[in-house]
Amino acid sequence: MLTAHVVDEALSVVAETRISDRDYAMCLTAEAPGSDTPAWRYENLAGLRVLTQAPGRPAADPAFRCRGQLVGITAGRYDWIYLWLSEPLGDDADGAGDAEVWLHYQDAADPEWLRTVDRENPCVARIPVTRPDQLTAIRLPALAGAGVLAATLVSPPRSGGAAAFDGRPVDLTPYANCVGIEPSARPGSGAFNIWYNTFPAEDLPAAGSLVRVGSVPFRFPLAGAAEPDNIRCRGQRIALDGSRADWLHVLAAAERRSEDVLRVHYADGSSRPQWLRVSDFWPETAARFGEQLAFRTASMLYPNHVDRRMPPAIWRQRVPLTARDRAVAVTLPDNPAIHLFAATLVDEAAAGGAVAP
Amino acid sequence: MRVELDGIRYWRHDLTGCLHITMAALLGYHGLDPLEVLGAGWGFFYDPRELRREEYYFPCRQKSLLGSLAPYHGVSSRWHQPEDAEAGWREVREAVASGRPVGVAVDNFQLPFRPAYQDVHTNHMITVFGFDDERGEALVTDPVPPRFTGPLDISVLTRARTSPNPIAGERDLFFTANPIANRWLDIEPPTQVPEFDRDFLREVIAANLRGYREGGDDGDDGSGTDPATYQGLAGERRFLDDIADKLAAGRTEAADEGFVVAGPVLATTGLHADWLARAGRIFGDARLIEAARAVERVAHHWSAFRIAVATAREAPPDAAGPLRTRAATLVADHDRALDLLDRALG
Repeated sequence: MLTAHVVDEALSVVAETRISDRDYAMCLTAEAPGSDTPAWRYENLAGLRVLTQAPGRPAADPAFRCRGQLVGITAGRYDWIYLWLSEPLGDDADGAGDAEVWLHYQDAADPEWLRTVDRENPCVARIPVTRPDQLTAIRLPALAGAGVLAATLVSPPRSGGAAAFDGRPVDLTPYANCVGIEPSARPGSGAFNIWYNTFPAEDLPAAGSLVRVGSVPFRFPLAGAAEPDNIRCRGQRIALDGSRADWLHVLAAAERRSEDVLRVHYADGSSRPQWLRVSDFWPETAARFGEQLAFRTASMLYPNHVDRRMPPAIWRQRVPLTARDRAVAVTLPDNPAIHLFAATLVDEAAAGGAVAP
Repeated sequence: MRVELDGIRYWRHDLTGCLHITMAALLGYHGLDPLEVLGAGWGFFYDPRELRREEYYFPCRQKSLLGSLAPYHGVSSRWHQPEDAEAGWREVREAVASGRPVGVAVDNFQLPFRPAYQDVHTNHMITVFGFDDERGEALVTDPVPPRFTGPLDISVLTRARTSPNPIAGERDLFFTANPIANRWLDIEPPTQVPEFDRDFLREVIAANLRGYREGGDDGDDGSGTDPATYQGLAGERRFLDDIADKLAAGRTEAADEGFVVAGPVLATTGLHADWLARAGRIFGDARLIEAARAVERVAHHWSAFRIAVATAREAPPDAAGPLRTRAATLVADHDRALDLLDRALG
C-alpha cells in the first residue's frame, strides 16, 4: 500500500489516503474538505480506478492550465506525482517529444520528463521524484490548451519491516567490463578509474552474495577474482526480465560525478529516456544527487600500496521506469565515467512497503 | 623564527582540483568567499600553444592566472620562478613572513601525505602558510583528498619543488614531463569587492553570455585557416570536434590534450553552476536555479568527456565516434543552458 496525498488547486495536500499501487488516486477538490473525513471512493472514470470525493470529481474543467508556471506544493518526500490532464499527451515511441518539468527540492532542482503512464490512458502522466529530499515546488511545462484535472502526490512506501527481497536483481555479469574490486593482498590488475585504483574486496559483500542496501536486495558482483565486476557504461543494452517495475535501483559510482540518459525499452516496442545520476566515488566527497551511501570501504587500493586515508564510496541510486508496462531492457549511456556494480528492479506494489530507504 | 598565518580555511569543490582549491585558500585568507569570487567567470578559451602538463593548468585570457579565473573581482596573481632551490625557499619564506600565504608547485611523488608518494609523478599545487626555522619545517595545507594540514620538513618540500617530474612509469599520465622548477605564486587581493547583489549578478551573467555567443567568438581572423585559439561556444564545438578528429587519425596525444583541457573547463562549469544556484536561492529566483542546474548538466558532460578521452589511449580511433556524439549533445545542452540564463535575466 502507498500513501496518496490528495491536493487542491495549489497542489497543497488536503487529504491523505492509503491506496493500492494498482489504482490511481487523484482528486482536486473544489474546496478544502471540512472537518469530517471526506467520503473518498473509487470510481471508474475513463477506464481508470480513480479516487474521488463524491460526487463527481475530477471536474470536467481543468483546475488550472499548464502554462509553464511554478506551483508550490506541500513540502514533503514523495515518489511520484500523478497528473490527470485535460488533453492527451503526445506519445512518441521514443519519448523524443516528452515535455519537461522541473522539480524543486529544498536544496536542489532536477529536470524530469512528463509522460503518459501508458497508452491506454493518454491523459494520465506520472513524474518521478527521484531524490529522497523535501520536494517544494514543480514547474509545469507549457502545454497548448492542456490543463490539470486532478493530481496526487504519492509518498514512498513505508517500511514493512519483515517484508524483504521483493526486488528482482538483474544479472549484470555478462556485461561487466571493468575490474574495480580486488583483494588487498594483490592489487595491481584492476583499474576502477583511470589511475588504476580499486576497492578492497574484504570491505565489501561476498562475491555473488545477496545483500540488502536499505531494504533493496542486490546481487553483489563476482568480485575479487581478477574478473570484471562492474560495468563501465559504454552504451550496453542490458536485458531485463520483461516484468513490470517502478524503479531500477543500482549500486554505482562515478569518476567525478556525472549524469546521463539511460533508455528503458518496453514490451510494446517503445522506449523512454530516463536520468541516471551518480556521484563521485572519491573520498571526502558527498553524494550530489540524493543517493544513499551503500558502502564506504576502509581503504583504497593503489597498484603499489593500500591507502587507509582514502576510503571510497559506492552509492545506491534509482532510475524511474515511468511507463507502467513490462520493461524488457535498458540501454546504458555511453558515459565511461559512470560505473554500475549491481541493479535490481522493484515493483512498489509487489514490494509491500519494503522499499523504504 | 616561527610564523603561522591565521585565516587559512578548508575549502574544496568536488569538480575542481588543486588550482581552484589553492586559490580558495589564498582568497579565503584575505576574507573573500571562494565560491563568489571563483564561481562568477564562465567561458571557453583555449590556446593550444599555451597547453602545459600541470594539474593547475588553466587556459588564461589574461596575463594573470587568478585574473583569468576570477575576471569580475579585480584580483590577480603572479608566478615566481626562482633561480634555484635555495632562492625558492627564501622567497616563499619571505612572502609568508610578510603575511602572504602562497601557492607552491610540487611533485606529489615526493610528498609523504599524498597517495602518489614514491609512486606516481605529477605536477600539483599546495599552499604554504607558515614555517618554523628552528624545526626546519614549512606549514602547508592541501585540501585535495586525503586532506592534510600540518608541518612538512623543508628538505622534503624542496625535493618536491625541484623534481624534474619525469615520466617514470605507465601511470605517470597527463601531468608529467614538466619540471616543477621551484615555481610559486602569490595573489593580489582586490581593493574593492563587488556586492553579490542583483545588479552584479546581471552584469556577470550578461558578460558570460556575450563571451559565449558574440564578439568574434571563435578567434577567426577571416583568413580561411583554422584560428589558433578556441573561444566561445563555437570554439568549444570546434575543440571537441578537433579532438575527435585527431583520435580518429590515431593520434594518442589528443587523449592527453583533451584530458588536460577538460579539467579546468569542468571545474569552472561546475563552480559556476553552484554560484548561480546560490544566487538563485538568495534572491528566491526559481528560473535562475533551473538555469544553474542546466549549467551543472554541462559540467556532467565534461566529466564524461574527460574520462572518455582518458580511456582512449589504447584505441584512439574507436573513441572518435562516441566523442562526436558527446560533443553534439554537450554543445546542445550548453546552448540550452545559455537560453535558460537569458530567460532568467528576463
